[in-house]
Amino acid sequence: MIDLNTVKRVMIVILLLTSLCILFIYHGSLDPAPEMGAYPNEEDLIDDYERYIGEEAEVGGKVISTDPIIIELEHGDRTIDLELTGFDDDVEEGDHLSVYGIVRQDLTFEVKNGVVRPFFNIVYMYVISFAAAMWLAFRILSQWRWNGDHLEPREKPMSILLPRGDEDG
Amino acid sequence: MKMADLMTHVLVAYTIAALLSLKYDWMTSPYTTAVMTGAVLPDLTRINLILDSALIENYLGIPFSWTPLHTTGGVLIVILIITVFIPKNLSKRVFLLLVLGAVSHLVLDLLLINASGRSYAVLWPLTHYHPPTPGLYLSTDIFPVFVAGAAALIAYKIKKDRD
Repeated sequence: MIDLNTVKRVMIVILLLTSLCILFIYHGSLDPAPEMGAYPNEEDLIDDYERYIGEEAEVGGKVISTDPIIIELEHGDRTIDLELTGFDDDVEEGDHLSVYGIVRQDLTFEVKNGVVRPFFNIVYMYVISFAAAMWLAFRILSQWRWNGDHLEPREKPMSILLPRGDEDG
Repeated sequence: MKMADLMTHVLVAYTIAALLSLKYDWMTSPYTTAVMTGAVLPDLTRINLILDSALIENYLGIPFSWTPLHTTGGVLIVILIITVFIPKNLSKRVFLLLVLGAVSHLVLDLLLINASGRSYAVLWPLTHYHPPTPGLYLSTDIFPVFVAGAAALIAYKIKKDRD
């Protein structure tokens, strides 16, 4: 016999996943709205550079040259190289540079403000974030269990994963 | 890179949960973990590293963006999906704890430095407005994890002393 409760839950999950997909597509179709602070980004400039000449934009990319400073904007497998003017902070190739300013002709960009993320810090962010994800995964696995029907808290944490017991939270 | 490092988010969520446990006896480890889980949900956008939205667009031929996962609307739907699998008698509690964690994440990310001085559309799809950011730190800065780690240690100590 089909469990009505299960059918209802499946329907709800399908409905929620559909809503999420609608949001993914709707957001993908949005145009920049500078008046709302949503400036044209890498994707917009790669899609149609000419359209944004003379307008404000906010883009980021990897530094591929330091004299002049050139960053590579990337969207999927498409890239453009953007030469920056009016920005003289120290940067090294491989750093990530986010800039806000005016889109100019011939793939140049007049920087009003820029933020540099050194390569080392980018690596740090990924390593520490991965460690956090692992820590949380262990907590979830040791403290919650699937009872065949629901996710429920374990009465005692699973000892293999948390040998010192329930002392950390 | 509109995100703080994940460790900072998880430690802040741990701190909030530890402080809540001083007031609520039912707030045990699994529920602390629920708050911490809520705090990583907005960064599900990082799925983009594996499944690039640009490539999905090319493949499907329709616009596509993972960004909604890092907004109020998207994260709320993800939390509702998780809540469907929680036993009825606990679902309201777990829902609220996941929301608490997610809100802590979204609020922390509103403080990130941005070149334009504007943050991100936190309330989307209600509004596409990007509020101004005070620009306190970068996602790649190292100090936030020490501040959050110190807060978590203090909260842990207070909780231990009370127990």
